[in-house]
Amino acid sequence: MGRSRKMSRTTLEVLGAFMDDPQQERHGYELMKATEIKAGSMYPILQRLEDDGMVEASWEDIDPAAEGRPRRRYYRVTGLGQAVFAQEIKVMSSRLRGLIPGIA
Amino acid sequence: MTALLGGLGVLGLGLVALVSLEVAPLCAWLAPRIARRAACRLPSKHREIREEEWLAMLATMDGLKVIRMFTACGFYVSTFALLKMPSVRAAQEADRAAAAGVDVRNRFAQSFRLFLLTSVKNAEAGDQIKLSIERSDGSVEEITGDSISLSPGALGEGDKVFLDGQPVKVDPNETFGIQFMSAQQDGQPRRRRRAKRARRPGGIEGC
Repeated sequence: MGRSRKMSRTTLEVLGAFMDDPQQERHGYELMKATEIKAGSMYPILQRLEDDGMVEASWEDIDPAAEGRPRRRYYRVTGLGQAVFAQEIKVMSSRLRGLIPGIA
Repeated sequence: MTALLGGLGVLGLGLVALVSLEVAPLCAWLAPRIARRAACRLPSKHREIREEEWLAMLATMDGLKVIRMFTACGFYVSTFALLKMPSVRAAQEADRAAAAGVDVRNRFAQSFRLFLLTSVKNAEAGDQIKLSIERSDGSVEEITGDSISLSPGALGEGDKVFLDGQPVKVDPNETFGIQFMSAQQDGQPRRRRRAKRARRPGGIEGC
């Protein structure tokens, strides 16, 4: 749970993709389309977020034989993820305020 | 001249179309295989999850088949980063330990411990084991024995190695080497065999 390392821009983008509707579950392909992050980067990011408790994953409730495809794995942002995202945005905003005078 | 260029253009387009027709089924065939191969690089705990997830994603994807193949290549690339993550490494270590019959209680172990576990896994019945330890003061200690095991020690306290049941204290800052002398090979060290095994740990079935 203790998150000590700095969050990268791409990680923040992935976390941000959940923020339109935090209750909505999303699968990897949806996240890739929303963030335009390639598969090579997406899965390490999702794994890291899952390890840090910022997203939780669950399997799609279908019968793979009936659907003719394997189950999707859905991700949903946790309360911790939302709090961390809000904190990161706050830090970025304060930095921007420092850089550009006149921004309230 | 213009007619010649036009003709060449049409011919070129025709060739591209022909190659595309051939490549598309190949990409469709190749993409899930690359995804499975990528999942095989991961420890068992993560392998099944990622394989199903990635195959589902390839089945969901719209667009050109060649893009699916590139995405599958992306999965393969992602395994390099995944394998560096503490949780994945711990699962990998647990796989190796399970194969070596060692109980690992400390999930987030140091790479030094990983090295020891891998070495223990390489021991075979009938091997004579030679430990070479370069101590902090520069002296080199060599000990031989018939069996090697590890204690599940706590992080930062140094790992305990047992040779023939006797503890050998090794600190992470000391250089430590293990050599296996095979009885079947007239006491010759089987270094080459060990190196080959180290590249493909786990012996994953179906991968």
